[in-house]
Amino acid sequence: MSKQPLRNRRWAALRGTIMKRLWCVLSLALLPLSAAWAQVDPDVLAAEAARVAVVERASRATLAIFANGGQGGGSGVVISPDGYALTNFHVTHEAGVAMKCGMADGRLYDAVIVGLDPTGDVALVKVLGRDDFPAAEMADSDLVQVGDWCFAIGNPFLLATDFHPTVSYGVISGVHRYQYPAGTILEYSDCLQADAAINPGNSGGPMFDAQGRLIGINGRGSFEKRGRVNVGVGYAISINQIKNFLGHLKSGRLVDHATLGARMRSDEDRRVIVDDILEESDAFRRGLRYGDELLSFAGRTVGTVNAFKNVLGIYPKGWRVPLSFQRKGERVDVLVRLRGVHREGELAELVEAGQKIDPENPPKPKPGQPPTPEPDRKPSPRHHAKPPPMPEIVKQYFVEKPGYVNYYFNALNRDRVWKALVARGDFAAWQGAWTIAGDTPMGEAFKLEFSDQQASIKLPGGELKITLEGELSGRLEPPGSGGLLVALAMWRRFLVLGPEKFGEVSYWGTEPLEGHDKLLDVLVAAHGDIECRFLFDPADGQLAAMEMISEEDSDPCELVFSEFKEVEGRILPGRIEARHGDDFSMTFQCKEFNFAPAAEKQE
Amino acid sequence: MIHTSPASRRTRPRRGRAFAALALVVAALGGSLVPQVMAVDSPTQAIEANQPKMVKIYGAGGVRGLESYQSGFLVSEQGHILTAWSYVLDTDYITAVLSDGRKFEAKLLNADPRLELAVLKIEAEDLAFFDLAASVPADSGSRVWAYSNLFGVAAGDEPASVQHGIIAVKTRLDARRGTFETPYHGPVYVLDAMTNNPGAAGGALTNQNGELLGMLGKELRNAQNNIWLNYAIPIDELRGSVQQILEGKFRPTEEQAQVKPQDAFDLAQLGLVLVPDVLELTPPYVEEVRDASAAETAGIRPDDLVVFVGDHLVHSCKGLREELAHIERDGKLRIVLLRGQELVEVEVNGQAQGEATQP
Amino acid sequence: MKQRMRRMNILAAVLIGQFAIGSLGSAAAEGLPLREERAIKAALARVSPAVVRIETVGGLERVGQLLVGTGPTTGLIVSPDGFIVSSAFNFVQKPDSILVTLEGGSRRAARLVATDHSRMLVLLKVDTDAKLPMPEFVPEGEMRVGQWALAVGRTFEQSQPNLSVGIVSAVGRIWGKAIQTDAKISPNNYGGPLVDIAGRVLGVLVPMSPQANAEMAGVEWYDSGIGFAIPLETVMRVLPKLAQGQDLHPGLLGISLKGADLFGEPALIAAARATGPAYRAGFRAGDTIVEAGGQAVSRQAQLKHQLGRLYSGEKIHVVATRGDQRLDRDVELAEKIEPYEFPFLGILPMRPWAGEKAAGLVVRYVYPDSPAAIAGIKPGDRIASFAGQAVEQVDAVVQKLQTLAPDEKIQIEVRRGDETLLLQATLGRLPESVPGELPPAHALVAPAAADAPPADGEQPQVGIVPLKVPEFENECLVYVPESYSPRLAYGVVIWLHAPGGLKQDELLELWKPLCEQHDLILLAPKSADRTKWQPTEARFVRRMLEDVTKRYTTDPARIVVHGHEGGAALAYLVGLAYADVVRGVAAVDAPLPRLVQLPETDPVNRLAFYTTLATKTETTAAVEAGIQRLREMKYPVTVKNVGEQGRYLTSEELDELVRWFDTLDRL
Repeated sequence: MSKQPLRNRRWAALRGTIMKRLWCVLSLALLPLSAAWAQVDPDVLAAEAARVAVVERASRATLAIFANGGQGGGSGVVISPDGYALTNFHVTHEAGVAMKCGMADGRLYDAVIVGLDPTGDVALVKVLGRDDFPAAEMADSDLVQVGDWCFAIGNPFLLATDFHPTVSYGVISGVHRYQYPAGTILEYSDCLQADAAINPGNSGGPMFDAQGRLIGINGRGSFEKRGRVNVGVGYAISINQIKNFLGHLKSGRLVDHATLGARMRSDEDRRVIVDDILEESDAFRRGLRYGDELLSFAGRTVGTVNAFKNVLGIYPKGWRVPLSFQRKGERVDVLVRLRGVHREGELAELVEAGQKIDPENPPKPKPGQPPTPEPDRKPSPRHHAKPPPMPEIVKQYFVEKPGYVNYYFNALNRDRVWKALVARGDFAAWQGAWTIAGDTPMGEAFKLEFSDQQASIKLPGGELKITLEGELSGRLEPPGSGGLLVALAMWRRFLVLGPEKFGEVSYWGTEPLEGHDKLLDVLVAAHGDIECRFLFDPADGQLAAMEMISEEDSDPCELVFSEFKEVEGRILPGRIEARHGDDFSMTFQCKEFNFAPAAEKQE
Repeated sequence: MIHTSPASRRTRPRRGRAFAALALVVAALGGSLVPQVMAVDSPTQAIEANQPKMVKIYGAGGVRGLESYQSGFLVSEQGHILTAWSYVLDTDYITAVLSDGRKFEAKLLNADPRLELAVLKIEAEDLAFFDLAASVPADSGSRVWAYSNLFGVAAGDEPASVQHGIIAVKTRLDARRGTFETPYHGPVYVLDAMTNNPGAAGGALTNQNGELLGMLGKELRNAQNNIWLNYAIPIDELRGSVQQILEGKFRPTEEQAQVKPQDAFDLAQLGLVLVPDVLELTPPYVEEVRDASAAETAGIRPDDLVVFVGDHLVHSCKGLREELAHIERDGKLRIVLLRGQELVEVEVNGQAQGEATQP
Repeated sequence: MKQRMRRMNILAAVLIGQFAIGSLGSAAAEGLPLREERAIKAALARVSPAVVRIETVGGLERVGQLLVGTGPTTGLIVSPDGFIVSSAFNFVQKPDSILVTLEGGSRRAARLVATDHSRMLVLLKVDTDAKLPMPEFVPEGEMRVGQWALAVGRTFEQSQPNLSVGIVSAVGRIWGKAIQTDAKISPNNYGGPLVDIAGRVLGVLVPMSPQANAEMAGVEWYDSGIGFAIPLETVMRVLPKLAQGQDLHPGLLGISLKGADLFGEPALIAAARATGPAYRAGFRAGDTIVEAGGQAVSRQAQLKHQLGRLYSGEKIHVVATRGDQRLDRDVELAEKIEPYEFPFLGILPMRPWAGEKAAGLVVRYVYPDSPAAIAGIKPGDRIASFAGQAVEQVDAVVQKLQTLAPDEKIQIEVRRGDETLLLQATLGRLPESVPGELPPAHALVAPAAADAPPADGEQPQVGIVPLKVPEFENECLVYVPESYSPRLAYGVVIWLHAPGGLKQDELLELWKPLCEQHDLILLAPKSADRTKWQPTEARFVRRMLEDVTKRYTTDPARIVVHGHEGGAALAYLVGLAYADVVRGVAAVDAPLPRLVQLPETDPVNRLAFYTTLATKTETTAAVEAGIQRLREMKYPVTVKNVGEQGRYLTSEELDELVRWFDTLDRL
């Protein structure tokens, strides 16, 4: 009795779809078509109709980007309904903070700059005025193969005067291409090469696969032969690379690329060999040395130096990636933290200086190193005209702050992450000292106690105590721990005070963490002479790990939190693993938590 | 403001529905159809099978500010490489890089300048190669794939660039005199793929099953309309010379310049006087026809415009003289005249003595 | 019972359903690519009979400096009785005779019946007894972006058409006129059809450019994946007119819009030509067009889209607002607008320093016998109001003048010392003579800046500044006066050297002092090929100009292109192609290129010409013809007679030329 209707429902549904299909076939067969039309292979027509449908869908998410004031422009693509969109850095560089975006619906929208990746020639902008923008679905661009059909959609030569984009069709000519920085800092690593027509103005526009999923952002073409028109060779930044940077781009910062701190060469047997290595680099600390043979990097085998650069080029500064090398026939697998390509502030200087990253001013590139197309230009009648005023709606989404492209989005994400955490229990009330007791896996009892003033650890072997005034980088107790006690104290301080009161706290972006398949949100917090990085799991908003860095180019003291449990309405880790470099590691199974409700006033 | 013409009113609903219906098929079969149709559309297997046959060739040129690289492909298991004959090979040290990244010094076995081909040899065994023996038909509309290292994009073990296209038409480079300045005048596949790029010469052209059709030609401009031509030389044209080179029997025959015949036609002999040649392209109007000349016998009249000599269109007085000078004066010559709006075809006799009757 | 029935149905449905999937799945089995290839070849075969080969006899060898093709081109049969449509590009050389070869190989003489100057098409006619094969065509409304697009020509082989395959990239391009395709379009198929996968004609292939409207425009994009075709539906619609030998032209409203941001700014009328249809219909400067052809217009581009597809003689319904008033008219578009003549008051304004307290317009110089002189205006006078327009800045007068025409009477309020005079003047026409000595254009020392931009910050580079951009191989030299101040607006002189390359040292020796004395920035691009300029290098010149105007304070009223011989020919092209920025063209020893299109004079964008004339050279006639063409279009042309033989200017003549530059902000 209860089953019957269920099955009926199933059948009804099934029948529905079947009938639909049946109808299609019949309609196909019975359509009274023109003589010529009727003679065409129905499968060919079906494939064509499929392509038309795919193109129509893909076009909706495509942007025609104009600088405010209508001079110059390029293309872009919306990747989320709330209007986050990708384009080239060199397109937004023309436009500045505010730009206008035409869409296939014929409407013109305001957009604001969010984050910049000058090295990767990528910019994240936010198109404003809707929360239901048509957005492109991102594909896994590592699955793209040479010979796959693809579409470039955009606004070449600014022909889309009605905002209906130009679609060009072609195949993928090459994958994992490496294109040298053509005299600028724009470096195209691991990019896709396609013969779909990419012309000036396509810059920043989407490259779609045959199913209309986003596989890359068009940025370059080989134009030197005929000056300004496509000659069958265009390059797109792979969407997988951009996925790695997306979190960072949302931080409203100028995002830097990564270097290993080691230079590679390939030897006569075509092995990739470490030719030179920085002693300050994490790779060096993890044991990589001159002469070692690189086997794989970030999970990809590297057969050539270009392949190595390709892999390197798709990661942001600060990420940790697996690296395998070989010395005297012995294989070593390590996890290395990548350092920035540029010095602190250097990137900003370059962008300020403009000239060097201005894609229009690189020296004539060598063969095989195509230049970047400039965004196409429109006549600009009024010279020395002031840039037009920033539209009101853009002002709401823009906060200027030194060191940021658009601080608005940094604050936005910092608060998002913090809110997600305190939503599961607010620690503000626990101003007093914290004590955590339990035992280590070896069964030794431990007691941790820390407050605003001091931190201590008690083990069967004895007790260690530090005070928390003045320079903290000098009190990295216990020895070899890289500052376990300070780290724990900072953990408490952060939970109790929150980003507003802790010190300078900003949103860094997203990073991978061992044992997590999703990328984690990272907040960077400075207090006195130390810096902490807090990693949050976007799945449950939980604080999953933290790193305490006492000085540059040294290993941080890491705390990994797990086995969370509820304590007095707050969520706390039942297990804390502390690590420093490859030598120090300690695990705390936390049994009792004690919290003095309010800080006792100090005289 | 487009006014619908009756014709369109008739046809619109039909095709409209056709599209609607097809779109529905897509909707109905949803995800299943789109990938299906598209997936079979990408001939990745054939491409992967061919990549190992492609060779990156490096040689001379860099110093002269010219690209010092081009493309080639293996035509034997033992490392014979077919490529384009060019300045790049004009050096003692030619490097060939295989798709797996292996570098070899390549020896120039021989070259046939008339076909703009050269054969290199590297010391290697058991290589994947294109079989020249197989002859594969192709014509206008045949889908093709072009493999090359254009712009030197690929290095080391990076695979060659692959472009898609179709054969625009099969034609002869000498179909129209003076159109293409190239030693090769034979049949070519004109392509709608942009293969006309630095480094692409010597690349491979295949059909969609990956079977070899031809070798990509050099950068070449059409002198008549001043635009770049994308073309490949059919393997059928190259096979002979390549075989001879492989067998060591090849004797390079010197490119004989198109010699004008000793005894060619000319206006005086035909008894034709044209209007004064004053403009850039003075149309070859007949001013006067000498009495009893070959021209008169043939029925050419004053004010006729000479438009064709044989099958060649003549654009100007200059062109007409040039054209006649290329034709052996031994038989009859077909000339097409424009008389008013009439096209008149006449035949003039090469033997007839025009001059004799001159006053 | 019912149950079973339903099951049966379902069973049947399932079977057919599977067949449905099967039939599509089978594409995989047989290989869709091969079947598509078959379809492509079939489509080609189907349209082929209607595609003809066109050959021409006689005509020009080159147009401008551009070598034009002598090779065969393509046409498409559009009527059984012998009408053939083709691309105007194929006839730019103005051939004496045209020959058409039908698919079968039979040849016909053809005559050019009419030209469509809006779509860049020509209609040919051949006489035929046999009925010619007609192609089937696709109505514009049925075209879909992403559908197959096959471009067909008949240029390589008579017996076999040549093909290029792509998709429809967009529709309604070039202001609503064209289909866009990524199939390879070039002289190899201009004039031929763009067809769908069924072999039905979408359109006729033509080179096109959204900027220019000329036979050659857009050719530079050949084979770039950017190609255009005119919908055959359009062609069929106008065929009857063309067949009667009636040429077709773009339809004109006779207005100029304010501002250049096509997408940001509304269609605000800056000037309505008194003889133009818009003006006759009652529209005036200051009105904002909000609707055209039934479509709302919120930005200029939308108006251009409505107008773009229309021909002269066609009507468009235009709605405009004037304050809270609403004007609503049918306007019949014109083929030609009586050329607009720039009105002239007869003064030169002082050029204030940035931040200098601006109070009206101070008269720098009064042209002798000019309307201003007759009205009694004197140097040093301060114009407070002009034709009822209060004058805070020079711009006020400039903009007011744009709305006026010669012979109009106006009132001018002038402050002289502490007296105020009310003067009458009747506007005249721009002079073609160059005044003698001129007083300085601004106070020699910078006055204290009221609200001056902080002159600090990094001063832009002065002296010799080299410029280079990647996408052009050209190099470029810039000279900025050592005395440069961002608070003054500088004129820009673009020097286009004669064939043989740029002689940098001579040039600088000559120009350095002139730049210093007359607030000029010298911009000297070098031709890529030192022996000659290519017309396409005009783009480069513009790019350089934009770079300079970005970095330095420049005076939009004094941007001139000055060239010698080949350089002068390019100067004409640059000036006419970029009339939106260039205000003067000074040509030495070169005629106005024969085939360049002269744009209408534009009230907003004034353009003046200076040319030398040598009386006994082979180009004398051509130069005179050029001068005449310009004057017919009402452009002011200053002619400098340099004697019998062509040569460059003496230093006195050069001084005069620089004075001419100095007067281009005349009012």
